[in-house]
Amino acid sequence: MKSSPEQSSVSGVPTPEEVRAMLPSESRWRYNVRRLDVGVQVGRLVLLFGIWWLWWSETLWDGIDGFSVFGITPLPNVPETFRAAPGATWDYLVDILGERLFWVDFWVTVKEALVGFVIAAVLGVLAGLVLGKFRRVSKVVGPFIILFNAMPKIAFLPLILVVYGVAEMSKVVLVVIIVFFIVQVPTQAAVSLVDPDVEMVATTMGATQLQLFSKVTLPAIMPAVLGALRLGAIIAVQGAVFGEIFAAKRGLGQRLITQANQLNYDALFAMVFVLAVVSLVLNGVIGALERRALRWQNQSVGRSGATVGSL
Amino acid sequence: MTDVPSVELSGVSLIFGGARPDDDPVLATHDINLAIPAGQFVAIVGPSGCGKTTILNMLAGLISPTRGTVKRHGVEVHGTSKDIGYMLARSALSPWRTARRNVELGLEIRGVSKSQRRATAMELLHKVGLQGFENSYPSQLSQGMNQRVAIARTLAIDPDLWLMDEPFGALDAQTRLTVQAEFVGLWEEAANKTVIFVTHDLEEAVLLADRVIVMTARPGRIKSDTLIDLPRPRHIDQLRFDERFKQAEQRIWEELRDEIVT
Repeated sequence: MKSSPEQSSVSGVPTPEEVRAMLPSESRWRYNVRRLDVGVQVGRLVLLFGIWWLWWSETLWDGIDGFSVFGITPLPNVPETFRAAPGATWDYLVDILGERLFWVDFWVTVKEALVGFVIAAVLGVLAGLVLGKFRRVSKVVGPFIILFNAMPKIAFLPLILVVYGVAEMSKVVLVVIIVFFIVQVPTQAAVSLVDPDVEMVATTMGATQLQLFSKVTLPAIMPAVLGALRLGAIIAVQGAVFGEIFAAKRGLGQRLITQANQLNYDALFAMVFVLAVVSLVLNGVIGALERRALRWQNQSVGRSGATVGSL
Repeated sequence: MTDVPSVELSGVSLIFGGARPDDDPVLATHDINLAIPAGQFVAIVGPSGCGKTTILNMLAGLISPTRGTVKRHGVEVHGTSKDIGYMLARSALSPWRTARRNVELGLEIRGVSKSQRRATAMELLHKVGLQGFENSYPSQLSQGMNQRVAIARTLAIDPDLWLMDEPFGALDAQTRLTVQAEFVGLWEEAANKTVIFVTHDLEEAVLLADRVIVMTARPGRIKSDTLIDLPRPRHIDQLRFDERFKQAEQRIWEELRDEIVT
């Protein structure tokens, strides 16, 4: 079916080599340079050096007292005693890395965050599944969950401390009640958003409820659940540290507040860096699981720094 | 062909809604009487909202008629059944499964062994022209290719009754022609399978089916029931320009037009 009345002659198909020859040629070396994207790398270095300089030169601490908006000074001068220096922070960090008690503190915090996270993850996914799957259960329980989620969980900390004690248990409880909702809410939303057509096709093929769950619901909610878990892991570390700062026997948060009370702000910075590393590792582990489980999604998603970006 | 029809609807009416006093019930289909012998390819055409899909859903056992009975092989339908293949306009593939594993879905549900599943899936993917794409995910395939995967998935369980709900409605005109030809070929090759093919495209209905049923606007009733006496195997790319085809289409169009142009 030709639209033109005459049979036009069709040109031949070029070979792959000829196709390549039509493109501008680029050496391997130039390609590597282009892929490295010098602009981005330079931008990163400049930013890193800039932040370092702000801190090292104490510009950060000097602030701009003259800059005031409606009587508020957003960049005040920080008194000498409260300042932390990069060199001293580094020295403190190197010092404690060889200290046994630091590793005790480290392990306490990691344990609180991990145990709390795992409990919250299991409960959150289960609750999300039940509430998403059974509309009548969600009608009964839903309003109460929304109410409890609306409460600032941290406000329960004084009560949690007297009930569960000052040791690790209270931090685990705090982490659980905070992280539970971070997992439950997106899981429930994902369950209710499962493509009804896919469910219907499986149903017409005679799938049992259990098969519908394992072959449709579970894989369909995976992206949302893993994303929530990645966020939950970060929040778990925060929850544990906050609880420790409030009251604890041991832990990085406890060490942080003890040192800060002695005006050792180098230690505060050192602890913050250690905690950031813990969070990054957790985030990285779950991110790796995510990429393994979600290979079917667009390959570019989850690569190229998206994992860190969604911290 | 046996005497007991593959599918039989007697006095079937279906009402949606109306559960609450302030919710007006909608009569979707009314008093449908239809018997389809095994091995027949039946197309149902009608204006949108006339209850075409509702009929398929009742046959699939997803919903029960408010009045009347729906029978398969003389037995009343209660719930879903494993010998039905249901295909939708959207491919409704699982995005996390490769093409091959999507085709295997129904076999997995039936507990067919892994090697057997794989062999069946590969054979069907080959039949729908997707050899070499077994390991591609739906997101990596075109719409037409995904719809072919969906055909393979529907046929993988070797269903006795093929329920097709506008399966090619979302495809562009040229892809549709290719997929239609493949589909009709698969059906002609498979022996004695009953097809109920819902479409709003009359040309498609006449090209593919042995029998075309025209439904009225809501509430959906059967307006006309026409046998299409065109030879098989059908070469639909040529048949489209055949005089006999054009006459058949025009005849049914007269019936359908009254329902669409109001």
